[in-house]
Amino acid sequence: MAAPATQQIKIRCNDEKEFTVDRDVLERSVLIKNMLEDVTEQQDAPIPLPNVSGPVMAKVLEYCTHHRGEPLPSADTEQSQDETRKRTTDISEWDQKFITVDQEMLFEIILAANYLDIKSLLDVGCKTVANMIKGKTPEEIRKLFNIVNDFTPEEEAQIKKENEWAEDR
Amino acid sequence: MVELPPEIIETFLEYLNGDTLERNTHLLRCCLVSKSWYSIAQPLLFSAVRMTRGHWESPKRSAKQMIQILCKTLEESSHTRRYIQTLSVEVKSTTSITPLLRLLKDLRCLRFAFSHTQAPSTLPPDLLLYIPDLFRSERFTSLSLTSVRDFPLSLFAQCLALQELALSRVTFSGLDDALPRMDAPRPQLRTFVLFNVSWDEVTIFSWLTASRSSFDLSKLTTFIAMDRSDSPGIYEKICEFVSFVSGSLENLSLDPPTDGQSSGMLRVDRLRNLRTISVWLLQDAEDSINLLPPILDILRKLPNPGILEMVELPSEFPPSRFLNELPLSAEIMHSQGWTEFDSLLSSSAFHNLRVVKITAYEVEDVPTGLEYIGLFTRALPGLFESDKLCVEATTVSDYVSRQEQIWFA
Repeated sequence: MAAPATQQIKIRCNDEKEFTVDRDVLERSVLIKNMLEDVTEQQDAPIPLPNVSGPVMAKVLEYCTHHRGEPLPSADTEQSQDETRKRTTDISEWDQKFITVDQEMLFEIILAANYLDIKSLLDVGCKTVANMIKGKTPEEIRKLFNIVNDFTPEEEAQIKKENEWAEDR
Repeated sequence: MVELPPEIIETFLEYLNGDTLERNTHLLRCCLVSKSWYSIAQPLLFSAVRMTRGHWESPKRSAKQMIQILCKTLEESSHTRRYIQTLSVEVKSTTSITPLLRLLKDLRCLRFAFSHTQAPSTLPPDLLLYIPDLFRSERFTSLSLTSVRDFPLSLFAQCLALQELALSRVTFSGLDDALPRMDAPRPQLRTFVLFNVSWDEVTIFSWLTASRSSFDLSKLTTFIAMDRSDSPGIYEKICEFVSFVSGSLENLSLDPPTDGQSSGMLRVDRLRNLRTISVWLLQDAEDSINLLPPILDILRKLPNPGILEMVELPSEFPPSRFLNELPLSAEIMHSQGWTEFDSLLSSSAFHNLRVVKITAYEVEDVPTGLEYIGLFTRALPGLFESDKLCVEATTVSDYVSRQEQIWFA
């Protein structure tokens, strides 16, 4: 007997770009998974994703397709797993290649992973950015994130004083 | 440029890990980026304050001076007080931390140790007087004591929010006093760690008996007992305790004696919720080899085996041999590097492996840890094509600090 066909779901991005994707791939996103569970009837209209553009969604789907079938974190273990993940900055070889994109796209993927609630992708993105921050001076971090220094010299001195206990001795 | 919301920036900064000094250095720099980054980075910087041995290897400041500087900051910038959730201190018996504790009304976790170079000491009177106040806080859930002598057992009755307790080289006063009634309010422990207690059989019996009355153990999920005394008598008492709490236990770490006869003391059939078991084999390999067959027997009988973690596996008992005998996914830690890589890879049990860890126990430096990875990679070229596996190399100091984090996670 032939295996049952995988259900295909349509999504529409904020630039009108549409994708038709296997349900199990899309369900890597907790947001979409919950949306699909809430819909009882077969729906042909695409799911609107107003916070994600087509090119970013294409990257997100590449990630979800590669990781399809992997167990999703359950609610009760999520917190302890979060802590464990944050203790290591290791990124698997495939994920590392996947996330080697320009900085604009990296940040877009992180925002999309946050919106779509894809913990493992958010994890990969945040670890990558954390590795970029490490070893940089405040000025270099400002440059990286296009941030303007809004401290007065007095405020800067005050912060250094507050944090003196933690300085490298 | 994409604008990132504060919660995403916060997540980036939460991933700035490493040892305490590295993490502090990264976060200090982040504090100086801009006002919005300061408001995110400073609470993280203060959240875990650690003044322990690692900081003093080339000390420019004594612990006393560091405590004074931190107290001054907390007094002058009172908004920083509420950020401190975990305080880890290692002090000489003459140094008081009470002035610092008095400023920390939101403290959740205290890891207190007397300096490892001195014999266990009694707590200074001012700290003993302040502890009831600390213990009465509803936020205070985690306590670790190291090298403390004659800690009053009765104080725990006041620490009703306590969930995690770790003891290393600690003795108690009041063990022979009347114990609280079983229906009296008691702290409900989730994690209980006994590490290097070096007690005799009578003391451990008294303590474990007392703890059954002093704590509500019905929700105890993690019990770690590492004594290294190699005494069957002490192990027997620990096994009796495990039986008492077996219904709720999910994670168990034991350090059984190497006589090869003691493993039967553990009533494995009662451990119906156990998910992970760690067996530490820290004695010399010649004795440890006697222990492995009975341990395998225990593991086969476990109703719900999950992860096995073996530390310092003796070279006479290579991983491929025991993996072939185990029906469970195994997490292995090994100090010497494996000599049987090829047979491990071809072993059918290899497919049960979820995580392979290599721990370079004898080394402190990262380059040597990386050599282990290189050795492993050359020996198992197919490994990195498997999505099932991740390989992690760590040094002993990292491992110890990670264990501490796991205990208090």
